[in-house]
Amino acid sequence: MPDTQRPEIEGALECGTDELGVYAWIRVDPSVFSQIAVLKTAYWFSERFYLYLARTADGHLLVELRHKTSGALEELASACREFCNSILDQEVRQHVLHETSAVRDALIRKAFFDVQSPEAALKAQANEGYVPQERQSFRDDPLGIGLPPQP
Amino acid sequence: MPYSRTIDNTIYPRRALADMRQAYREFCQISVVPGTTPNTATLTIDVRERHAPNARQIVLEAWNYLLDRACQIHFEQAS
Repeated sequence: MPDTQRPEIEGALECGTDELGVYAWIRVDPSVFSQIAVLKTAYWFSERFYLYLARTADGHLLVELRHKTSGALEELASACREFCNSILDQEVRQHVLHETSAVRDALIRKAFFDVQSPEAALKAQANEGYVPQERQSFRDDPLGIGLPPQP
Repeated sequence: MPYSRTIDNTIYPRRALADMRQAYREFCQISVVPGTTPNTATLTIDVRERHAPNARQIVLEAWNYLLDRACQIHFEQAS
């Protein structure tokens, strides 16, 4: 990652300048934050910043942010700190999602599949070979379905 | 001026790379060379001459497009 200036180094946060302008990147420990949480956060930030993700030799994730238009280096550093908070938020959401997945699946199952018993659904089979016979058209209405209900 | 970076295929799937090349073929030439370590590749973006004044925007927009496609693929797999 070529750069000519390194005005700020704070362990996990580093800023600099290269041929594409100013950038700031943060190092994310995958043992603390999952890749899916980082990707979800990056997805949200891609609306406001240009992002690039990489993996270091020791397995850490690098997240690089750049301004979409012109902007100061300090703003990028601030965005990186905001990104860190957002990863934490997404990571908690991932944990909640994992912990409540059984309840959510049970609710969905109950909402959509309790209407009809599974046995009835299994027995129901389409008769593709059925051909309507004479006077079995919907126009003929042999069962009188189209007639108004009798009092 | 060509702009190269090393990408990790566990972050950026090959399908996302293919989509990016297709989407930006009018603006730049994108080449991918397998890296020296497993699951890595060197991706080079060379902006076409007629779009040179907007090179920065094209390169970085292409990166964001790649990231968006990668996210979509990962989210589909996770759900």
